Amino acid sequence: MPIDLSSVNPNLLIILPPGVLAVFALVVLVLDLYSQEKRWLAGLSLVGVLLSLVALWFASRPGAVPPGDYFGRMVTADHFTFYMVAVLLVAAGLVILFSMDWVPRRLPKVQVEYYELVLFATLGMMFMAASRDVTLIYLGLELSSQASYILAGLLRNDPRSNEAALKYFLNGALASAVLLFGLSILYGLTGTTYLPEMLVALGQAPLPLLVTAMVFVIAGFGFKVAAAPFHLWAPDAYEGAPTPVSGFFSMAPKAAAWAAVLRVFLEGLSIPQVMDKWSVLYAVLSASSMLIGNLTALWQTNVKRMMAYSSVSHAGYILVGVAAAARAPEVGAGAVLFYLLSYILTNAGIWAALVALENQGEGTEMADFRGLAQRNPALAWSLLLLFVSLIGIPPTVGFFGKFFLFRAGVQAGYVWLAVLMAINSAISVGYYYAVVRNMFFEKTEKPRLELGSSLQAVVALSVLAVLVVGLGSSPVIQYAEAALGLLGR
Amino acid sequence: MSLADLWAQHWFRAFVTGSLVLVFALGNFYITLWLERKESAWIQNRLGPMRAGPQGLLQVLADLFKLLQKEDIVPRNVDRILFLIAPFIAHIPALLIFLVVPFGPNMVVADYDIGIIMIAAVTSYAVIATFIAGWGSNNKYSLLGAMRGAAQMISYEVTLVMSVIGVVMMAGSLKLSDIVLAQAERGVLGWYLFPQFIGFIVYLIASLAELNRAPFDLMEAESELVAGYHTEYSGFRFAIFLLVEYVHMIAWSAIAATLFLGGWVGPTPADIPVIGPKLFGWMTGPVWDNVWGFFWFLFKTYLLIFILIWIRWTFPRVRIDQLMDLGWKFLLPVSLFNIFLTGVMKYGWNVLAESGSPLRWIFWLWR
Amino acid sequence: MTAQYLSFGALALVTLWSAYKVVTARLITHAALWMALSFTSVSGIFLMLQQEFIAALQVLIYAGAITTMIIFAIMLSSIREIRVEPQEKRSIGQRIRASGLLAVVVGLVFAAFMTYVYYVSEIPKEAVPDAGLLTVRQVGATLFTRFTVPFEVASILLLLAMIGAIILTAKETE
Repeated sequence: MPIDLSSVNPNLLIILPPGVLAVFALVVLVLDLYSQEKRWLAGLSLVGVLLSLVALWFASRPGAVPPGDYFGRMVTADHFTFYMVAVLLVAAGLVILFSMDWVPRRLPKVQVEYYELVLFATLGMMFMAASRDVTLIYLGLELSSQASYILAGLLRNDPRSNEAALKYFLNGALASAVLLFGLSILYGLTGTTYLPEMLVALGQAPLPLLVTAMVFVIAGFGFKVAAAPFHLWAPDAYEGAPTPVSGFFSMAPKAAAWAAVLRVFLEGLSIPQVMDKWSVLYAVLSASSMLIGNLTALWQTNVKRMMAYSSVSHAGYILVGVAAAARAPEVGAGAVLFYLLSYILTNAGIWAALVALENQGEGTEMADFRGLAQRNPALAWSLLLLFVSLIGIPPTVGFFGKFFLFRAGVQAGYVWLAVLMAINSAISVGYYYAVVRNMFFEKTEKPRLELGSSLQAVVALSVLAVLVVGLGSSPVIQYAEAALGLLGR
Repeated sequence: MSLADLWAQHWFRAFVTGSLVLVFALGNFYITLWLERKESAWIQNRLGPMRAGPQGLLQVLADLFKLLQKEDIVPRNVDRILFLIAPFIAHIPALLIFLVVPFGPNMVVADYDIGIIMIAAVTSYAVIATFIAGWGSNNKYSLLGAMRGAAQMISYEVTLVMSVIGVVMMAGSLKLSDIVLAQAERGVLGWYLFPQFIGFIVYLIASLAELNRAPFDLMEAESELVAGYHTEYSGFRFAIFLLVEYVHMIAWSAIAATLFLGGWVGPTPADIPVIGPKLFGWMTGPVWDNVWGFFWFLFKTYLLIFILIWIRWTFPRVRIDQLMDLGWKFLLPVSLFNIFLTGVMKYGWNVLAESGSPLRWIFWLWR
Repeated sequence: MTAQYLSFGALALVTLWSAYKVVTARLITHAALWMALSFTSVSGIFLMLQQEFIAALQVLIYAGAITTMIIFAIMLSSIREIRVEPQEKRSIGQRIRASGLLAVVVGLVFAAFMTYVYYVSEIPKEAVPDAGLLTVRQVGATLFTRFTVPFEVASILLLLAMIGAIILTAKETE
């Protein structure tokens, strides 16, 4: 019996960015067997990411790929996809770049596997962002999560790394199960996994079951993005995992999870009966994430752990946008998308500094930052700027990100949430200042801190991006808000 | 309630046909065990059992009685429940396989659409049973034997299923009776033995390994592991393991006969040219079809059983690493190649069949 | 109808009981075997729904592959028994934790909650699509059309899992 292929609707260009990435991951995997010198394979992975970006640029030109769903309605071509895939590829590129010096020192046995895992994780995340079908969203989520679990445990002789991997794995598996349970109820109610069809079919669905499913989905995604009641794995995972891997965790997988949240809730669950409900739930999650993240971060002495709590609080800020997106979709989702970019660009530089410290054989305690201004003034001043961006002080990109979120919150009627966000930004000054004080006002006898060329590049790129994207934010936010215009409507 | 009414009831039908399968399996177990002794004797140039009954036919009965009389020893420190139930769990997959095997044109207990997948599924319990026996015995030789056995069965199950895929592609169905009918349409030379020769050879080797028979009987290698996972078993529990081994052998031979040798398809006396219809014309009709079908099915099955026994008594045992290498590095790629080849050849025939090109005869076998 | 309810009830009871034993069994091997039983009875429920293919896959993948995988992991590791160290004086909190009572209570509450939710939700009959007998042919055709990309992603996921298992567990050679 011949198979009816007419419904597939293939398009080479839209699958090219993930395709290039997959091919490079596999090529690197095979070359690893035959090459004695491993360092150039890191470069090859980076080339793969860059080529994927180039392919994305070709695919995203207006008219190159007509907006719509391809490959059996699995892969979606719209601005949202292009924007998020670009963000994720940038994150992956930065992570590979700042790991290049670190990996040969700390992971001599599994150097190439490290890059492969990063590439595979990025591949999964790209599909999470690029699909309107929960099947592929879930598979992408699993691909990126599995790669993350393995990455967290790469330091095999370090019990803390093992602990981080195990905790991350157990919590992540539970989260996946909860998420899948919710999604399967949704599938049972509607008979489809394709979000736009789900939206139509949900109209007749019984409300109690629908709300239950929605709560499960929120809880599942809440684990993945480490929003407050579900964040307990994050500090241990961040602290125990290899430092560049923690950096990776704080940047890419979360961004992809946010993309999936926006897709599922704005395209699948945006019927009026439940919209208000998830909006309020997200608002509550947002408030608790901000408060718990910021207040706990104040007491931390380990910078990696502090950054984990900081990322929890940033998840809270982003949730303001998600909650607002229920009532003002374009503004809310646009603000979220912009904030994701700003958070990734800012975080890359900070984690690069942490990696640099580890490269010199030092730890990531607060004390290790003492006198950094003596040891490497340029790095210290860059870090200062990046922290300023994380706090959200103009003219950095962080300020604009928070401003858009604030605006979205106010427009959607969440004034209390917006005010809470401003208060929390003020609280966050406390712990960022602790690092800054250590850098500038403490003396040290340690020698100068040298950064490798790749780390210098990451810090420079990060600082430059924080300023440039911040000051020139209007085209980016316009694109981000337009991304939603095409999403599902 | 008449018999016909009863027959219409599902439970009654299931009960009767299931019992018949059980009887079939036990009867053939008896014959196969006798055949093994005789064949090994012929190969080793001796007589084999001669005293009990004509040609030693009652020897198996005597042996079984002996085993049943023996004390049922449960050693101390075994995992009691697991130790006791292991032989019975081992029994399940061996018998379940017969449910989907067509013994004749209409003789099949449960003609599932997913026949082959069902076979692959129920065989997985054999691994669990082996493990239960090995673990329950609380003995390192048993555990080692079970571990080897589980590794071996898992590895070769993959190969076994892959080798059958070619047949499925040719027949376009997973249902065993459909596969037989598809072969019946193609005539004697159309048996899948010929286009699927690679698959057949791989199947034969893999089923030997799946059965844990020599030369692949590593899980009970006497010279290394005493007797593998049934070291601790005695009396009728040991007899049941013996039974399972032979029933499994019959089952795999029956499936091979069905998939590669045309199953119950075969000539009847009525097919003899000129004199056949006159002399044996009365041998037609549904009953006689089933009788002849069953005959050919048994004939082919025993042919394969004969070959399996022959292999057992003529080849030395391989090493465990050789076994794994053979399975994963040779047989699996070969069976994958067979799938590829079948696809290409079938496509070639589909394209060229209508054309007059002489090239099409290359693909004729895969029509 | 009663026969159906009875057999479903029996299968459900076996599933739940064996699932409970998976968690509470003291020997880790017993837990693995209870799990195989649980999977098998789930496949029985699929058979009751006349989805032979899904039932066979359930047995093939879960009772066959996954259980065997776990059994291998058990045989290769040195963990045999989960022992709770007998303490002389255990507080009430410790005893409750050791007894697994909490898990049972939480499970029952959750089950009650879900039952209640299903009870109050009036599920429209037509919302549940009648799939009919799912054939292998349909599954294959769907895999090659609509689910091509997820299929490939799943295969990459498996490759990744394999790489991960190797690099996390392989002996470090000098």
